[in-house]
Amino acid sequence: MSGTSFDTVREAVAPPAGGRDLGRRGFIKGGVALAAGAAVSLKLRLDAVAAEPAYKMDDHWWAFAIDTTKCIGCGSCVRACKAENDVPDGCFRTWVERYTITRDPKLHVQTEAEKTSAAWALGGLQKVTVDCPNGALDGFPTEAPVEDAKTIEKAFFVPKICNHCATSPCVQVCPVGASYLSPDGLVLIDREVCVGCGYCVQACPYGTRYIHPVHGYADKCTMCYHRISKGLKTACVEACPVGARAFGNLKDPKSKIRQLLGTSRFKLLRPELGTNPKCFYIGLDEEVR
Amino acid sequence: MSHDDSEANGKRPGFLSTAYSRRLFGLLFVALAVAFGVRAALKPATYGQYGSYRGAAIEDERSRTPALQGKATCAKCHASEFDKHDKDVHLNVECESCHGPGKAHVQAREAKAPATQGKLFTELGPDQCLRCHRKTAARPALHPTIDRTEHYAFRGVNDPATPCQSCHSPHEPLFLERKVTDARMHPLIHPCADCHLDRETLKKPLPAGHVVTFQCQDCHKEIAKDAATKKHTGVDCSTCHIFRKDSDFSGRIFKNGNPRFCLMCHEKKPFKTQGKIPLIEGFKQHVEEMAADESEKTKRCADCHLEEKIHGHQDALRAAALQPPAAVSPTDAKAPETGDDKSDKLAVDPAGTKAGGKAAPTAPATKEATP
Repeated sequence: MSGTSFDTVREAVAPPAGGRDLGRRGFIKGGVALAAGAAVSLKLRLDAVAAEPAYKMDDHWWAFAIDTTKCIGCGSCVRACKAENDVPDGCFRTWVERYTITRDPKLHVQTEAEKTSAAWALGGLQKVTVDCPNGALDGFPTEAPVEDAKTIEKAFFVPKICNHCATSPCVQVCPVGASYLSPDGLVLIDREVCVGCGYCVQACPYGTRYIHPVHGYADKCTMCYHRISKGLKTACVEACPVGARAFGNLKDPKSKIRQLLGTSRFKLLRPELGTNPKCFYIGLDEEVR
Repeated sequence: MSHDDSEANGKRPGFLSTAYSRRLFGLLFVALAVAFGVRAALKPATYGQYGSYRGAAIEDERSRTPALQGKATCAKCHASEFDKHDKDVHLNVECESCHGPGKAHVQAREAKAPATQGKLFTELGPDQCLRCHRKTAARPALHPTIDRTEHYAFRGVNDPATPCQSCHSPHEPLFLERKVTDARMHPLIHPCADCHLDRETLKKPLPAGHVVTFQCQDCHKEIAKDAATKKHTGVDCSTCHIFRKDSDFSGRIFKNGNPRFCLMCHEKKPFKTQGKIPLIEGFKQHVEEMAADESEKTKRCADCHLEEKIHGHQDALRAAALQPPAAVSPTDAKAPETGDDKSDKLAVDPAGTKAGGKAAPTAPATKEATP
């Protein structure tokens, strides 16, 4: 992302027009004015909205990152997304799943699958419960989705979102060219062209699409294209109180996401499907599909 | 064979030589022309600009106006509230996460509409707080969570309908005096909870042969020793010196001298029953009651209670520890000597082991090892 606060400072400190032959007084005056300007721009954290140069698609290749170890499952992202994009009730562009892995040592049924997995060595019956009450729009109202909290071996939240796949099946199946991969790496939908046939909804292996119940077109996460192209953060990244979500431009070596991916181990969701997803998961568990 | 013959005989008519085939091809041509014409008329102008889709659709998507305003917008009018919020640990919670999307609010205020229009949520129910702070097995261990019933029982809150805001300010949950991001980075980066996700395990004493973990008292010897002799000895170091983990490699420890922080536990409220924790009527009344003269009315909790109830001042304690025994000054003399006999009387809370900030249990008990 080029709209960092550092850019704001640089813009503010750039010399004013005609400032070549300043006298000492002029220099000091200008310096004071510039310092004040820099301080103000820092204070207000304008995120360089105004200073953002015309957006160039060719300079961008957007990607998303989610740190599952940080997520607290509050659902702020889901609510922010709903407010920002007018997502209808019961549909979700992003949602949070809770994985609860329980192990009951008394109930040891050794299946063939268990013999070949790491879980076998631990003994007991392992069970994975995934719940997502109303997409976590109101967080998770229960302590755990299982009866006996003592059997919980581990539990964690996994936020889900469109992976903006580089070779996306949803784009491939669209019969009218309404789903497309934009030159800056986003899978978007042309609402005017979409006929709402729903092929893409079925093609998406991550279940990130829905047919809009009112307008009838297919709809999905746009990675808040209207925000990020203006130098703002996506609604969900902005709303996340623990910094579990990040996005950025993979073409920019200084971007947040490049730094994040350069310093952490990540995994993709279902890479074997050949969709080349661009949502990188940090700390993803084996059980997550 | 017959085919060759007929051609040789010149009986076969030439291509387009009959009216029939001329009509046929003419029709085909017209159909194609119409098809191309219709396509040209119906095809969006920007189709194929970037690929097999309408190029202008990208601009359509990009040109939507953002609905969420962001906290910078809120700060323009609500500066004092924003400064409080920006200083404390909720700084990363967006205003709109609790108050609702602000688009209508900003539009109404810009249009100078009556105050009833574009009103935002200002009253939060406990459910809103618990979205983040409900005790849930899946939450990262360092995130502060409560079971509401347990929490209220522990704090002596009678009425279960008491709103969270009666004690906690959502804008400044810890009443920090310095900005969170100015707090010092602390090298204690792997608290117990990093490995032990299960809170029940955390409550047990260290098993024999457990890897040595740094505890507060390993470095802050003098303070820990002194604190063990004072009233607050059952309280975790981390209850007041809250540890906030930033990443796997860094975290911060807050030092907080704000009386409002102490009052979260020690203020008398209509819904609280007097338990073990001493409660005062209100900070102002208490100071005025206790002050000997006008100059003492500006005192804060730590000015009177730190040495007596919590622990001595770090610098004094350190100086005392560094000095040879003969030259102990009268002010710090009480710390090391009286320490040992008093600490026996005051039980150490074995539950207070969260966030690696436990003050006292140094000797690992050999009770049971977790498998």
